[in-house]
Amino acid sequence: MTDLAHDYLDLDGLFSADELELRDRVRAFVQERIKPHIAEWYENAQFSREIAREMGKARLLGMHLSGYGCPGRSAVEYGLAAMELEAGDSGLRTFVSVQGSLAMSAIHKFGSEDHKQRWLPGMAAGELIGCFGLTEPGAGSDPSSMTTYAERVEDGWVLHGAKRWIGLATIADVAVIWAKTNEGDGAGEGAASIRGFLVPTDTPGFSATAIEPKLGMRASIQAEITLTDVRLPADAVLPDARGLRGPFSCLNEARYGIMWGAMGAARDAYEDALAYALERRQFGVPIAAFQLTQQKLVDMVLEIQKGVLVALQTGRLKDAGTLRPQQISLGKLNNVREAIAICREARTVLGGNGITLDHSPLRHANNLESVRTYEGTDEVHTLIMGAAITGIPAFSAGHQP
Amino acid sequence: MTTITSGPPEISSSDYYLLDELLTDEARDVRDRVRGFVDRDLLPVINDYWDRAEFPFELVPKIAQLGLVGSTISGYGCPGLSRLAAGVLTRELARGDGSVNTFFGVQTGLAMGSIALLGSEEQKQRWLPGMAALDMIGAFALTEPGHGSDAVRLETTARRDGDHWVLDGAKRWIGNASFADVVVVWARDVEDGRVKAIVVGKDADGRYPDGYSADLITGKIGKRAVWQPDITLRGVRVPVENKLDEARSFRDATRVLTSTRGGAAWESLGHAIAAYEIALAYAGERQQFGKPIASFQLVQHKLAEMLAEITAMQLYCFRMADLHEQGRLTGPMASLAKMHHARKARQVCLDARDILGGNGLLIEHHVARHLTDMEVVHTYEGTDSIQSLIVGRDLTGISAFT
Repeated sequence: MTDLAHDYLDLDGLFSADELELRDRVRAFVQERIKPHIAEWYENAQFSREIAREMGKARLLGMHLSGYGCPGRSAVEYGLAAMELEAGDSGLRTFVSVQGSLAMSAIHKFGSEDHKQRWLPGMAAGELIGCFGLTEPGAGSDPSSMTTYAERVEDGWVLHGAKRWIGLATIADVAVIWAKTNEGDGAGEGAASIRGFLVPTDTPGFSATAIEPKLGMRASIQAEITLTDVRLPADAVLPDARGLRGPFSCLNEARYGIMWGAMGAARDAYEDALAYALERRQFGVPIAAFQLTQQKLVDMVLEIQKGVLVALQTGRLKDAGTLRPQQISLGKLNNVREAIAICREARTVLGGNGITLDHSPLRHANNLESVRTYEGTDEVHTLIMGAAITGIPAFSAGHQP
Repeated sequence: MTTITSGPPEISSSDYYLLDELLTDEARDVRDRVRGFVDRDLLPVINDYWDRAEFPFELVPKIAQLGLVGSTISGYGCPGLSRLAAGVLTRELARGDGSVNTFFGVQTGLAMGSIALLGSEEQKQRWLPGMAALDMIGAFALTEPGHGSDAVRLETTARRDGDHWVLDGAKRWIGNASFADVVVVWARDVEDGRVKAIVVGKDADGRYPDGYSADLITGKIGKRAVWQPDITLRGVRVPVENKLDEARSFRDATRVLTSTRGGAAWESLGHAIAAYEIALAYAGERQQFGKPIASFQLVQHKLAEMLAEITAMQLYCFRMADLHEQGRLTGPMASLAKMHHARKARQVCLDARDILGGNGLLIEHHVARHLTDMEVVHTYEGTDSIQSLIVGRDLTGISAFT
C-alpha cells in the first residue's frame, strides 16, 4: 500500500496537532477495544455495558459539552472521535451519539441546575446511561404528530404513551421523554405544547423492550418504550425547552456526528477492500491489478475525501458558532448515502469472502441502513435542503406556494 | 438445450438476443426499407444539415417513396402498419437521425394522428391522402411558451365568429410549423372553456392566413436539423369546417399523445443502438498503449452495460407493441417505457461518446448528434418527471402533480 492510499489529499494537514492527537488516541482505543470483539458482538447482537465505562474513561461521552465532568472538546474533535468509533462499528458510535448528543445535550441545554448536577457527571463517566425518546410507532419523520401525553396534575405530571426505536432504553438509567402537554400554546394538540421530561427508568409504569431480531446495527440496542400512568414530580420537566425546537436542537448535534461517523465506516470498508485486493490473486495477478477493481477503489477514495471535507467544513462552522441547521442536512444526506454505496462496492471487491464477519464492509453497510433512516431520512434531509434553497417547504403533499 | 455459442451474433451487433427473429415479415420488411434509406440516403448528408441547422428538404421525396408515412393509419393512402412495424420504423429512423425522425413523427403521429383519430370522414378524405404522399406537411401546435408540462392550462383562445373561428395566442416548439400546410392548433373555446383542435391551412397561393407567423427557434443544440418554431396567432380566421369534429376537450389531445408516447420509447432505443454501434466499432479500431481500446476492461464494461440496456429496451418495446395491438396498452404503461428508455438511452449515448474520447465531440462520428438529440427526447412527449408522476398516480391512486 502506498502513502496516498490512506490520506490522498493530505487532509491531515487541515487538522491541528491536538485534533490529530485525539484522533489517534480514539483510533487506538477502537483498535484495541472494539475491533477484536466487534464480530462477536455483532453476531450475538450484544452491547457491552463495560465498554460504556471504558468510553467514559476515554473521555468520549458528552465530549463537546462543558462542565459537569464533561470533556469540553471542540465540534471538530467530537467529529473525529465519531469517525474513528464508526470505523469500528456504527453501533458503538451510535451509543456515543445517543448518550452524548441526544440525552446529555438535552439535559445540558434545557435542564435545571439540579438536573445537570444529578445526571451529567455520571453519564460523562459512563456510569449512568441515558436515552432519548422522541420517535413513536406512528410518528417518525413527522414528530409533531406524536401522541405521548403528559398531563399536569396537582403534585406533578402523569405520562402516557409509547416510543419506538429508542437507543439504549433497556439499559438506560434515565430517559428524556418528549410529550405533548396540557399547558402552553396549543395545549394537548399542537407541537408547541411539547415538553421534555426526565424519567428515571425505575419509575413505575416505565417499561422498555428491545426490538429484535435486527439485520443491521446489531451491536447496539434499540427499544420500544411504553409509558403507562408514569407519575413524575413537578420538577421532572426540562424547564428551558418548549415545542419541537428542543428535541430538534439535540438531533442537530447527533446529525452532525453522523456525517463524520459515516465516513469512518466507509474508510474502514475501503481499507479492508484495498488490503484484500492487493493480496488476493486471480488469473495470476493481484485483483488490484484489474482495471475494474481499480475503478471501484478510486471511486471510494473520491467520495471519502469529499465526505471528510464536507464534515470538516461543517465542524469548523459549528465551532465558529455560525452553523445553520439546514447546513447539517447536506453532510448527513451526502455522507451516509455515499458511505452505503462505498461499503456495498467494497463488499463486491471481497467476493464471497465479503459476506462473512471476517470482513467489515457488509457489516458496515447493514449498519448504515439504520443510519440512513435515523436522525432524518434521505427524504427528510432532501426536503430540508429543498426548502432552504427554494424558500418553499414541500414536506406535505399538495403544498401550494 | 444448453448450448451456448461463442462469437458475436450474425444479424446485428446490437441485437444480442436475436430479437429481430421475433419480427413479423411486415416489420422485417419495414426495418430493411428504412435501414436502406438511412444508410444510403440519410447518413451521408445529415451531419451537414445538422451542423448548419437546416432542414433536409432533399430527403422528403425519398421518405415519401418509402410508402410508410401515416404508419398505423389504414386507408386514405396510408400503409396501415401494425404497431410492431410502426415501432421498428421509428427505431430505424432514429438510428439514423433524431431530427428526421421528429419530422416524420410530427407528420405521422401528431398531425395525421389527430386527423385520423378526431376528424370527420370528410376531413380525413380532405387531408390524409396528401399528407401520406408528403405533398402536404403537417404540424401539431399544443405547447405554449407558458405551458409545457401543464399544457392542460393552455391559454390560446378560439372564438366563433359566423362561419369562422378566430384564433389568438402563442405556441412554442412546434415542429414543421414554419412551412407546414396543415397546422393542428389546440385552443380553448371562449364559449364553453373547452379545448378544441382547429386546422390552420395555407390558401391556394401557399400563404398562411393573416395573423399567423412562425419564427424559428435558433441556437438549439439538439435536433438541429428539424425546425421547431414559435408561432404567433393574432386574430387568425379559419373556416368552421377546419375544426376537427371529434376534438371536444383536452382529453382528446391526450389521446393523441398517448398513442405517440410509445414512439418516444422506440426512438430512444434507436438512438441507443446507433450510439452503441458507433462506440463498438470505434473501440475495435482505436489503438492506445499498443492495442485496441476494446481490449481494456473499463471499455468492455461500458460496452456490456450499454448492450444490457439496449436488450432490455428492445424487450419492453416488443411487448409494448403487442399490448398496443391488442388494445391493452394504457397511457401509464406507455409512460413507463418512455421514462425508462429516455433515461437509459441518454446514459448509453453518454458512455458511447466517452469511448470515442475527443473524437466523440466531432460531428463526423455522429455520436454527439445522437447524444444531444436524446436530450430533446428526454424532455419532449412528457418529461421524465411528468412520466414518473403519471405512473405514480396510476400506482398509488394519488395525483401528485401539484
